Amino acid sequence: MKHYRAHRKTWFVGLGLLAAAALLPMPWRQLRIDAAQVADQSTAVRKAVAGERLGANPGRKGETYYAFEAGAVRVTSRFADAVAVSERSFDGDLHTTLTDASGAEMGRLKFDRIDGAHDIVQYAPRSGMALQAFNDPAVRPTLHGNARQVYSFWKDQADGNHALRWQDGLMRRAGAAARDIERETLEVQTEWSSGLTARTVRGAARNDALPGRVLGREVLITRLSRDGAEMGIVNWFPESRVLMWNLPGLTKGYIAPEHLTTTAGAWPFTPDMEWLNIQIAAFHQFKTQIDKNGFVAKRQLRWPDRLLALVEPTLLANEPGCDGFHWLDGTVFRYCCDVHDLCYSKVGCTANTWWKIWESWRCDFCNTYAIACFMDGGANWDDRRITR
Amino acid sequence: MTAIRNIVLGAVAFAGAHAIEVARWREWFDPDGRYGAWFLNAGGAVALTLGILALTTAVTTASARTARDAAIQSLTIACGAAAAMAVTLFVLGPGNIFPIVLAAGTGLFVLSCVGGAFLGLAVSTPWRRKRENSRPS
Repeated sequence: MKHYRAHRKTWFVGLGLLAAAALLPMPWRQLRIDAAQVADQSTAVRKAVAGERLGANPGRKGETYYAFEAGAVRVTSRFADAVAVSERSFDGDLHTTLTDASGAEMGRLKFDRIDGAHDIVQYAPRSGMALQAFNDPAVRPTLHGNARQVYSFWKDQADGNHALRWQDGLMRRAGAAARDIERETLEVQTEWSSGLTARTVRGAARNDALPGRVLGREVLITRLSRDGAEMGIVNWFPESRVLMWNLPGLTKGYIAPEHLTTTAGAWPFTPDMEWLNIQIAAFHQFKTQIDKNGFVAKRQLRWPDRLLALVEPTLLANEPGCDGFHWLDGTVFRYCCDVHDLCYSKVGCTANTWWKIWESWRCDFCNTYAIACFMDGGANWDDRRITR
Repeated sequence: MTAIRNIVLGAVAFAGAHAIEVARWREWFDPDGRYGAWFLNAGGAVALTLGILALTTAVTTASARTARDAAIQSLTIACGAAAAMAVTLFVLGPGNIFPIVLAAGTGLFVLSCVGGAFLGLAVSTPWRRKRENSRPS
């Protein structure tokens, strides 16, 4: 005890130092804490809150678009004074050859895909030094995009000796005047390995296409065909910003600014010839899949139903199209029936649930949509709450 | 009594049309055999059913004294046909838009029967007037 008292101050100082070491954030301890926090942040999964908009950046085309585009094997882009033929090789590289009106080769462009961040654009003009440049990762490579790029290089008389600048998604010779290549594009033809071909040309609009609406003077006309047989048509009226389509037996309708309610009537991007070709193929693909697979809401039978099924020739299963009204399958109303089927499938409704409002209003939401769509002549296109 | 007769007549007319459609579905209406025999599944079947109903109504209402009588008779015939349609649909199995199907079908029946009634009246009225004028007063 005496010994303790003699060294009491020493004990206090020692214990105090120990406590301080434990509690105070010493530099070496702080480093370890920070490192642990950084590690936590880097591995944390960012959750998407319910109701959060999950779409991509407005103004950019989404992955579905590029997936469809990636299926194309050849695009022929006809400009006022040249033709570019772009093809996709087995490794995903894009090769474009530009010829002038007489068929003489003016240049070649290769888009060499590396890893998305270090992709290389190689341009070999007919005369002059070849150039090679890194692509901007924000600029997604497409076949028609390659055609626009090689045409732009040719018009700019660019080669490896010139400095380049990005301008509207294209590499341009530094100091080159602004150019609207889309206006100079006369025709774009996209071919898929499945045999589908979409071709867009410019034309003069007829203003009786949509009664009561002035559509403007110009129209981009896209036709979809397989082995020469026409399968449908899409018209885009740039001045009135109206898109109309008719794929007989599949879908028919139009989208006008008043239908784009979530963007205050504005299209999130400007449809161009390349997009129209992809869109008509997407119409065909999606609607064919819907018609083929249907949206079957299969009912789980309970034992009274099974018993009844023995004596009743019931056909309650859903069919693709307008059940009990297949006369409408080839009309604009088909779309209403398909969306109604999809809605029923999503919320688990059947023909038996039309009147069971005490169980859920969700089926009635589907029904209300269907009735509104029928009343609207199939032009009620704002189905996003149902289909997404 | 006339109303009941007309309701039965409408139901029988619809049943007759449906029987023809069942018997000749693949030959006349749906060669690909995509859908079951049902009058709203093919344009030809719609035309046949509405035609039979219009004809039935025209014959029935030919003896009507006034246009109002003809209209009422045609509506009762349409009601009978609609009832038969509903029973047939539920026996076959209603699809998931069956209320729309029933409403649309009933609307078509009303149009067809009213049209048939006025057709019958238009044909029979001159003949009846001629007969009435030729009677000794």
